[in-house]
Amino acid sequence: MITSQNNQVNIPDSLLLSVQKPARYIGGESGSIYKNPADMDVRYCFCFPDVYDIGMCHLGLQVLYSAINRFPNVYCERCFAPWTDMEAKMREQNIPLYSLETFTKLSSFDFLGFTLQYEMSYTNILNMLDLGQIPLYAKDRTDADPLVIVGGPNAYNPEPLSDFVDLVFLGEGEVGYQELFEAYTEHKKLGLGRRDFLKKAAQINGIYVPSLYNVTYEPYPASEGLKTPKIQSVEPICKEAPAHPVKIILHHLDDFEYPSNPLVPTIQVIQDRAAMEIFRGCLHGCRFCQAGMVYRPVRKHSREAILRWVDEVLQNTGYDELSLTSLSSDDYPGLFEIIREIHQKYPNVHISLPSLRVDAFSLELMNELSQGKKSSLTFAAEAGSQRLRDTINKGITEPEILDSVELAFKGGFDKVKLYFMLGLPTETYEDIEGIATLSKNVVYRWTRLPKEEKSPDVRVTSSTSFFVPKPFTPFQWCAQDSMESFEEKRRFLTEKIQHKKIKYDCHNAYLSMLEGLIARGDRRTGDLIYTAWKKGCRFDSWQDQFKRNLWDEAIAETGTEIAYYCTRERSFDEILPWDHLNVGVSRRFLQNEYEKALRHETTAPCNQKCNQCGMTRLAREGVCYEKRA
Amino acid sequence: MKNVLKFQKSGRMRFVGHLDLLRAFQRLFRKCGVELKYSQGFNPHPQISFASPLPLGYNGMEELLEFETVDPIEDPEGLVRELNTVAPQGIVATTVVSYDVETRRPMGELLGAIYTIEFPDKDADMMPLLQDFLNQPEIWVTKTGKVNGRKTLVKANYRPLINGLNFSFPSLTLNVKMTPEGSFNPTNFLEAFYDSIGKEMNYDISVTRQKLLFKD
Repeated sequence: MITSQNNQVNIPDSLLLSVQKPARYIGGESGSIYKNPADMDVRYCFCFPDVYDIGMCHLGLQVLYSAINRFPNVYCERCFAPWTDMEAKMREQNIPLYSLETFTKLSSFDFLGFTLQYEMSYTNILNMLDLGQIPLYAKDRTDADPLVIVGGPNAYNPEPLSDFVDLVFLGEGEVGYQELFEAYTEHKKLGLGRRDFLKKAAQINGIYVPSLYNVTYEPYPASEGLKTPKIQSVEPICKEAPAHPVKIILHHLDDFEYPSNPLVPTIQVIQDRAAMEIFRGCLHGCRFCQAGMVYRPVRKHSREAILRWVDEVLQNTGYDELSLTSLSSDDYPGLFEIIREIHQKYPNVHISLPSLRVDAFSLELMNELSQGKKSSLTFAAEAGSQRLRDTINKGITEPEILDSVELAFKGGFDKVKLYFMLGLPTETYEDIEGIATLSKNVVYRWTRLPKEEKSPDVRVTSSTSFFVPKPFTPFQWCAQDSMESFEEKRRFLTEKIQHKKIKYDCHNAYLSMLEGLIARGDRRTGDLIYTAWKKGCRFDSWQDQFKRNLWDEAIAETGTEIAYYCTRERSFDEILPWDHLNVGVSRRFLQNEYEKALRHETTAPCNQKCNQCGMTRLAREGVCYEKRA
Repeated sequence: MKNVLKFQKSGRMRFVGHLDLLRAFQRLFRKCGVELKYSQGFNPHPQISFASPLPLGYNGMEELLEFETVDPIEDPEGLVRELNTVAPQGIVATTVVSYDVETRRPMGELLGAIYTIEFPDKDADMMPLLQDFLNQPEIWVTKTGKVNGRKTLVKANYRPLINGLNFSFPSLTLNVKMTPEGSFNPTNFLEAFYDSIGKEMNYDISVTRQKLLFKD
């Protein structure tokens, strides 16, 4: 909240010329928004806790940057984690972290908004605060320091970061900020302190203030052989803090004009294209998937809104590639017609549809997609046997998968990617062998096609990740498989899947364990993250930056028990660290789904049958209210 | 239609490399409704390239971008105006000139360039040393070159590459050769100078390529 004139940084040319990709640090991109800071009541900096090249591909950034800048008295700028070479130089030359639009020091902002996308980005958050010369612990911040607010998918369990954040934004950023900024502006005028503002903010829909809740622990360990006690209670410490903060929802997607003049990075980033979310949420309720639970209810943008966006964004950006994203692309009714229309109008524009679900795949859509570039097709089969697929509620059968890939091969596609998970609940080695069988069957479908009906060669990449139980999913009570078990299973599958046309990729078991630890971590986990950062952990999701030995040390030093956080099965009556937050989906529903999983029973998609998940208490529009097939 | 865009590159855009700048220009042309011609063959790519890529960190006052369009450009001045409305800060389009498709090399053969180097005030006392350095019959610099196909540091004599110069503190203007046999690179030259006086290279020195020189 400092408004001095000395709040800008000067980056010498010599510094920029001595680091990789200096354009990461200079801003000035097409689509950048410039406002006069002197006219602003609130200065907000959107901080993405990874390097520019990654952060600029994040859809949420484009949406929030646009949404927050629509307030005439609020200026939203951006900041990304400087790469290690830049960080070293900045520390050496005592240059604090700054925003890209105006080169303003982070410490001068009113709000620093960090998006919680993945657990292994948390050390970067601490690092950015440190580089910004802002006290890491919320309790150490004074009225002169910015308010640190976090949002995004992982904000539904923000507990591991509760020592470091002032506010948590639960839900959808298109609609939550108005009240917050109004309250803040008034608070500034009245000259009230930080503590008072936080109490005010706690009463706003969608805002959770961790410091206004007290967590107590049982006076004995969770079980024999463990040292860590379970949570005994999570209680608000004042009347302003609600017992159960509720997430805020954008009920009608079209009410928010999707940004059609996005930021266009000048340097090449991971994905050089414009993207629009065509619908939010997912109908299928796969039991491992957090996104499918926390983004309910399913709501769509209208065809008109999508087509209008396509026209505007192509005109504004000059991109020749677009992405129409959602969690399950082919569940958007009328998608082929929309794509056909776009292709007719813009024959040179390539359209990408991530998250194509296997069962609804059709030859028509595939033909549309194959105009122009032919990339690989991805199928997330997730499990190697029908029994296990039913357990996770991934309602797809092997014949459906194989018929789809055959269609793909006939359409000229020659690269297929298959995604699976190892370590799912009730998994047996038979299920794992099923992954190898299915992968080979995909190859055989290609092999048996006559030569003139297919591409000259085939490449199948089967990729396994290790299952990480996530909060607010039916599997949130599961014991995560141990690292030893992961390794054994990987070795087993590597042998079984051997085939010259198949490439097998596997995730890092240790990283998966860490993800599992932090994903279901609680307030005590903050110590671990801090210790790891202090030892020098950064960019943990980057293979060449990840320092396992330092994390090992941090785990040992903080006494964090993997046996408590990862490999322990929770009981239904246990208080989970995120239980006090209300995302709409009820505990009863999640528990019911878990019990069904253990019986290998499936649950129908939302558009076929309402499964009483509890969302109708919060949602006002969407699939919950639409006529069912 | 073959065309050449003359443009300036300065400010923040100094830190964007030429490949990224090329992609940025492709987007700018699309925004202005200019359709680039693509090459034939298995991996079609747009026919667009720089006459001579500008090294990272330099200002360029008369940089040249060669690009082939599907249709002739009806209003080159209009295009320049449009480009300037959509271009990022630091890129200014100055002219667009069109050539017959049959013309193999619209600009002719590249011979050299004119660079100005601006020294900061604090380096004023080094200037007599620079004069001495420039007066040498041979000016040896170290640069990255290829020996037996591998990138390595090699020594080169820059003296024959300097056609002419004008030195009046704080500006040093150099008219230099850029040929397949050897090209003058101001950064290599400066590094050699600072090395010769036992000082660390000062990367805050401003280098501007004033223009490219062609045979015609």
